Amino acid sequence: MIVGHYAAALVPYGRPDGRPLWLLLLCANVPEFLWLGLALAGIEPTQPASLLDATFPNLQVDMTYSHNLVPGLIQGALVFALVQAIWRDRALALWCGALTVVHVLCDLVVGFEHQLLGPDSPRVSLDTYGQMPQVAILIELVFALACVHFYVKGEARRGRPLSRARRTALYSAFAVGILTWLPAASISLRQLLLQAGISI
Amino acid sequence: MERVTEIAENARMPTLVLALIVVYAVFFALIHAIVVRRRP
Repeated sequence: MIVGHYAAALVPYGRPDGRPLWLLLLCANVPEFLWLGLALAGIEPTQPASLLDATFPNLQVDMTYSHNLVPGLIQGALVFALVQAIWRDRALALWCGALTVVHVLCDLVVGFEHQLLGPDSPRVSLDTYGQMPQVAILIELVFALACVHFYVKGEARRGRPLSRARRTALYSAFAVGILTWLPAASISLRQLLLQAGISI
Repeated sequence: MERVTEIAENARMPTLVLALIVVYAVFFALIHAIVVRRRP
């Protein structure tokens, strides 16, 4: 998953006690931010490295430390401990740790090939980006819209419904943010531009 | 556009990762703005 992970943060946010959304959004993407940092450092590189040439099926990624299952559980435990130490709020810490673990679990269904622990350990993911990227993107869309729906309905039940404009903005942001990746399921940006008569 | 791409690739910059960083940052700000601003 890509931006769909952010939708998971709305589930614990839509509660009466109003938790810090920025923290929930951050924790929902800890494995991704770790991967981006490790990728820049050359520890978990991507091939091809160019935005112009990458498609979901041709992208070779190494996500051993950021997205394999056991490292993901360790990240969840660390996030829980860190949030608990700073905020002294066990429920918030549990949600933050859970969001980090949910990220990894979601990517086992919608994502690349991931293993249990190291690169030679058993594969635990479906590798949907490699095998059926369009289906993977649609699963991400359903997941994100379901999370937004849960949040919107919860706010309405609590007597503070979102305005039509806010609801539309929220649903649209996720729909557009996720479906924008559909072309990359089959064709690179360079090929797409070439078909439009732009050679780079 | 061509020049920017050339510079990035010559510098061996992983443009895919950089683009994803921008996407995540923009989306973070967008969702936060949509959801939080509604609360007093």
